[in-house]
Parts: sequence; structure tokens; C-alpha cells
Amino acid sequence: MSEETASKNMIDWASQLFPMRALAEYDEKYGFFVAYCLETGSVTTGDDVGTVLDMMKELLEDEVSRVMKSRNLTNFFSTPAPFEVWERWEKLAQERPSEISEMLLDLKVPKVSKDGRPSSTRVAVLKAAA
Amino acid sequence: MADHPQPASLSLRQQHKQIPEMELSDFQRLMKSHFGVGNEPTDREYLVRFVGQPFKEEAEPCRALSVMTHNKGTKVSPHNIKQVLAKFGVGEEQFLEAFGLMTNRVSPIRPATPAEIKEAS
Repeated sequence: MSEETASKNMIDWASQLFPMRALAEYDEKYGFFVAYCLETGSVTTGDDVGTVLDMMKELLEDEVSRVMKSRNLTNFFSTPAPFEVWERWEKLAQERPSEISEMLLDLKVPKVSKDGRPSSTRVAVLKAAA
Repeated sequence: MADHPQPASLSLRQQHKQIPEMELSDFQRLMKSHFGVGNEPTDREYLVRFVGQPFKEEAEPCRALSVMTHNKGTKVSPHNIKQVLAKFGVGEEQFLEAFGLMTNRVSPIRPATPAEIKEAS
């Protein structure tokens, strides 16, 4: 198997491996918006909900691209978001399932799966903030 | 002068009870000097990669994460700092003490006793 093919197969596999979720909300204590990735614990902060989600997309693209290179899943999943964030996601997801949207990550590597489907990592997104 | 002066480390902790927003350069320096966590630039100026020992991301024990800074790449929010601390197993109290030492540029006279810590909390 060529190195290029092996790399492509790795991308195909890895893209299915990371079904992640992100919760964006307003932090009243600090007075700005925060987005959390539940699975990786990644955090972004900003002045509006759109900005924190854009930042989260870019941050997760970087993290996923790196873990596909390093293969260090132990590090990738070592510090998920605090349990309260998972609880808030679950509550919102049950109350407003129709508001769960999807964010596609553009990884730094070519990504076309064997059957021709575009292969990309998806992040389910919920906005708690108004 | 009080008979029982408060230990310096305890008084510093009382000054900084919550994780502050920090200048990125200060945070990088503090993490490196007190906790041995290095950092490296990325291809984006507002994104910083923090890397712990053994500084090889392929190694399973290695912990690393990217942090989105703000204010044109100069500041790190309290939330980001907490995430970095969690990733590298640094307690918030430990961090606040190091932060206090850095901002006050003093050394602790003696460590606080458990009874003093309990009394202060």
C-alpha cells in the first residue's frame, strides 16, 4: 500500500471516529460567550455566539488534523468538558432537538472516501445563548 | 507587627481567588517556569500549541492542546487557562499561587499549614 493511499485510508477512518458535540452559551459571570467541545474539552471565548463557534471550528480542525498525524488518542480525549456542560447539552438537546445543527470540519488533508462520499468530521452544535 | 504573620503563600492565594484573564506571554512564561509546559507557534498567530513532557506528541504520555487566544493573539481567557490547567494536571490553587508569586515577585516565607488553608477558605 502506498504512503498516499495509507494516509487517505487513515483520513477516511478517522473522519468517522470523531462524532463531536459543541455547546455555545453566554457566561454571565464573565460577560462573554463561550463554546465547549464536550468530547475534547476544547474551549473558545468571544463577544458573540457566531464568533465562538467559528473559533471552535478552526480549533477542532487543528486538533483533529494533529491527532490524525500523532495518533495520540489518549491525549485527544484526556480532558473532556466538565460534567455540567454535558448535563446542559443533554437538557437542551431533549428540550430543543430541532435546534441541533451541524458543523463540518475542513481537515488539512484531501478527504474523499472510497465510495465517493465527501469525508469530513462533523460536529453537532447547540446554542444555549439567545 | 502581628504575633503570627500570615505566610506569604497564603496571603497571595487570598488576593487571587479566581483565574484571571492573562497576557499570553505571561501565561506562557508562567506555565514554562512553574510547571514545565512548553509552547510552540502554529501557522496562525492567534493559535498557540501547549506541549508537555516528553514534548513528542506521538508519545502516549505526552499531553498537548491548542489554545485560541483573543485580542489579536495577545490575551488568554480564564476559560482557556482552566482548560490548559486541566490538560496538564495543574490544580487551580497551585496555579493561583504561582500567578501570585509572578505578579508580586516574592518568594513564600514558609508554606501554609493545612489549618491555615482551612481557615482562609
